[in-house]
Amino acid sequence: MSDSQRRACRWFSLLFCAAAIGIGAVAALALSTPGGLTNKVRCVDLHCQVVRETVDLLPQAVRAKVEATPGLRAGLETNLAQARTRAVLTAIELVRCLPLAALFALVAMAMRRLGASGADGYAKAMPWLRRAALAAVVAALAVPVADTLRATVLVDAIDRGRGVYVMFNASQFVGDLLLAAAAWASIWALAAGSRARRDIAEIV
Amino acid sequence: MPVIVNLDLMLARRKVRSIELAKAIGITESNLSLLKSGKVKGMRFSTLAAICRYLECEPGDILGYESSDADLNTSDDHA
Repeated sequence: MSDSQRRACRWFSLLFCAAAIGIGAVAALALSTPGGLTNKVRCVDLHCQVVRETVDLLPQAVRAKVEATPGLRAGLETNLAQARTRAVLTAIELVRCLPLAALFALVAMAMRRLGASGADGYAKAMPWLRRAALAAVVAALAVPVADTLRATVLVDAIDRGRGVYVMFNASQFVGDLLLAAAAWASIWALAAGSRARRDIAEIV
Repeated sequence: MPVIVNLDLMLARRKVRSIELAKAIGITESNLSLLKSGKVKGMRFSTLAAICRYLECEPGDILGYESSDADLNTSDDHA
């Protein structure tokens, strides 16, 4: 690998490291403030303002019912204001964010290994890339799990005893999972190629 | 895999130095050293042919084999 390629790898490592830290920081910041989950920035004609959109957290099917019923909306707001609910929602958001942060951190480690001087950078980067592919699969699985948990908690606040509210976006889930599987397959092929190259290098 | 490389022996018999053979057959001295010590996974036919040509010997003069039952079950996948 040339010096410029190593330098590019080191830059990518920093970029992914910053992305991992950024995800963690944004999640922590958003979740530590009371309106962190529900406040959104809306811009119309270059005029932006922070608006509280509690109902955006709800599943589409329940949202219309809550928007039409002021009592339900007030109940939801009251529920969200409780520290216990916020703590549960924080934990649920962490289920969604942590695998993604781990994915970026692991890719950063792999890039760092590739960018380091010395021979066999590929061999050293491969285990990190394999872990990153596993994190990508976990991240894909975490999205419907987190969505379902959040919907269950929020819907329970307005419709007691409803039980588990399954939220599953099949197209998004299949897309994410296929991307993760493609990454896994690519890394497996790279590892096999790297192993074959090492074997050939030992034949004189 | 008890294949023995007797290259050292042939070099001594022919009074040829390693560096001379390495230059003649176009491989590095370090690779020839690895080959002599048997620390390689394999040897190309072209390398074997070049060595045989230069040392005027047969492949059997360079490579030997110690019988082992473990060699009966070989596999292509050594990963």
